[in-house]
Amino acid sequence: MRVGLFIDGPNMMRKDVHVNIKNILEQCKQFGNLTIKKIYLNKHATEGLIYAMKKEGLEVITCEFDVDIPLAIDASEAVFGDKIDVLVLLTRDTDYLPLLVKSKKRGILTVVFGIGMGFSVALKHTADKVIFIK
Amino acid sequence: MDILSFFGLRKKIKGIAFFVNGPDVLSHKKNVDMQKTIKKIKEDYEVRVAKVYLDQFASDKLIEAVNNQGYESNICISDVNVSMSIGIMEEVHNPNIESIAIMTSNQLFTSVMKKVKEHKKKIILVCEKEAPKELAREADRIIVVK
Repeated sequence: MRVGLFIDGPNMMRKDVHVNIKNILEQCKQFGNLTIKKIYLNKHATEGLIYAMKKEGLEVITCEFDVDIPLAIDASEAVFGDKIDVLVLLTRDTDYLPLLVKSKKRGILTVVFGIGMGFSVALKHTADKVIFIK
Repeated sequence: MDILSFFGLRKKIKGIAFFVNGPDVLSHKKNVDMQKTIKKIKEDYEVRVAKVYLDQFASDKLIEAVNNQGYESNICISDVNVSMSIGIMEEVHNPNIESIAIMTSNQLFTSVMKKVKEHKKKIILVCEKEAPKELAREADRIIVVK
């Protein structure tokens, strides 16, 4: 199974949300081979964060404006281009709901990693699997 | 309409998917004629997909008007721009679609336009007056609907 991981940086990589990327990557392995590992950060991302993410083997995409559209484009490309069997999102944002719906329609397993605080109810009820980060 | 189009002899391009950013285009102030817009596109293209993305504040009247003019209305509970980008990417992988037309003035769509071109599909920008520079730069063709 080919797994595509897409991380919404500004939404999840915050000081008040303690995300352990190593742990997430480890958990993703239960679904198959991680073929795509991308994190989307905005222009406010620190050099330290970018370096840490690269060190974990993630492809860092720095966006000039909002990260939502670039993430949606790349994830859609993977889904509609038949590049993945499992879509893993690390977000709390409802904006990606249509992506989950369309992925499920194509038979792709959808997994969302989130945190309890501010997590989208729509995402929770749409994704095949929701894993809350402790 | 030219004489070739009148007799149906003008060679139409395979198929086009037309996407309208509702909150951006369909405001009372702008007064865009959607019927005229789709007619203009149909002069040169075979419209296979015509979708208008609306937010949760769209009135029932607007939704009905959009559907009556031959568009499929998509009501988004989340960000319209993200939903529309996903919709565009879906049609980019549709073999029956050769071109993508978008009606928006939001420069965030430049990244989507670049992606469409990467797939060797034509990107057409439909606008009411003058096209925004950032979007115009990426477009293969600009259709102005006055």
